Amino acid sequence: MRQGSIKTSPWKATALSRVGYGHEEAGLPCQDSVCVKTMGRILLMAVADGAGTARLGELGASIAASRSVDYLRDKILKGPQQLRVELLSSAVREARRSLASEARKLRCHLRDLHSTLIVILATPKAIAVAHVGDGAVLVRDKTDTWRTISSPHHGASATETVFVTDEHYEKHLRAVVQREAPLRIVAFSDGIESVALDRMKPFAPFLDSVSDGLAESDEGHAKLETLLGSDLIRSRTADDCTLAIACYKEGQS
Amino acid sequence: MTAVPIPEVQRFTCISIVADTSGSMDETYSGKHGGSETKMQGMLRGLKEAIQYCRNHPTLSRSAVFSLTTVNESPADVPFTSVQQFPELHIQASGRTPLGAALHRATDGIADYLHGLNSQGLTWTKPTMVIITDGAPNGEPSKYVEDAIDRVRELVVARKIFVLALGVTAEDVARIESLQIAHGAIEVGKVGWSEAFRVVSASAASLAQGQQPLLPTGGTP
Repeated sequence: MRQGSIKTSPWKATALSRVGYGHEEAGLPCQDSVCVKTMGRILLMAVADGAGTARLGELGASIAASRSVDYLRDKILKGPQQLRVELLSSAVREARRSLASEARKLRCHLRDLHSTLIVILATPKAIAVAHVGDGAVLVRDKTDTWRTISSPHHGASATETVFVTDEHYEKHLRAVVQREAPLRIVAFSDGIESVALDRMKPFAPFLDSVSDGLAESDEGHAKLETLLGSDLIRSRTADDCTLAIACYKEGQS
Repeated sequence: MTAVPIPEVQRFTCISIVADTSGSMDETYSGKHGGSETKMQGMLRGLKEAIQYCRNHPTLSRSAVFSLTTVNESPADVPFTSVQQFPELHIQASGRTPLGAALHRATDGIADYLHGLNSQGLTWTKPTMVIITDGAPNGEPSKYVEDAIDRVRELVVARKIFVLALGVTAEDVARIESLQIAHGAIEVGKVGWSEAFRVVSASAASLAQGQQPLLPTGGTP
């Protein structure tokens, strides 16, 4: 179980990766990873899902998530950054470089570290996302409408996807900047797709419920832990699940 | 965080029937109901009962889709169709047993159907392929049969499909078991067509409810 829990202004954020029962029964670890950091008015998030077929998918996901967020944090610490797709794409490339370096160090194939990656940088006025693979990023805007910022990439079946460790990953790298206030942000791995999306569209009742749980309580993380371990989620997936939620609280900074 | 709403499940349960419809299926068989009906009549009766079970099942009635692929490409072949709309079948047993071609068509059919579901954002449980055999494959090059079996085996190894075999005789069961593609094999002559298809429909119900498929005795998950 991996987690990042932050209570800062103006962002209130929580995130958790939990092992799926399919992995539990097979004695496998959680192969998802999540990283959340805030820097004043800036929110950084990453969600990574290590491939079940990869020998070291868990390590790959952990490196991908942490390295991409650290890269953005370091860039911001060096000075003001333009919120452009290039900035987010470079975080994905940096994660990929780190994975390649780790593969050399471990003398293994890069594919042994196969992982998807979602990287998010949000401010009170905009959100930028770079994404390789499945999982998704959804945002609730000022009209209380949930919109998809980045959708899952699936292959021929719902269980096939692409990885940041693929040879031609750049072909599948999607990056977007949306200059509209993101009041709530929900990012997740593919284990959550069947409850957060309904026919690939945001399922507002679920998204409102989980983000209300965070926005209106100081026990958001405990609630998230309960949810991801619940029979409700287990009834839908045997896969590892990661859910990262952030709520923007106006008037706090 | 109790009572979190989630979308209604619309996870398709796909059952692909690959049926031996060769001339030998027009013969009567020994065992339950044997002598009073031909193998073809028994198979169609068992399949009809399975379809009826799914139509009445709380989950399968909405989620089950069946396809039928016959070895001799009979006009009765049915692409994946909702269990509620699956047609009444009338098949004339005839010809040889080109199983390889049927397995290729069935495998293509599963891939195409899942791709279509995926493009609509719909999900599915692991598809089940039911292979019904009565006698050894013939009427096509053995390499073609081997290629088709290898294709099915690859899907099994990758855990993308679940395979059940219904062999009319113990010899048919032994033959399909030797191919190492079936998770479980049932000897129809011993248990009867109704019971054989009951395992198929019960397994589909288990898959539809997010559980492991049911296996006949001696099956390998």
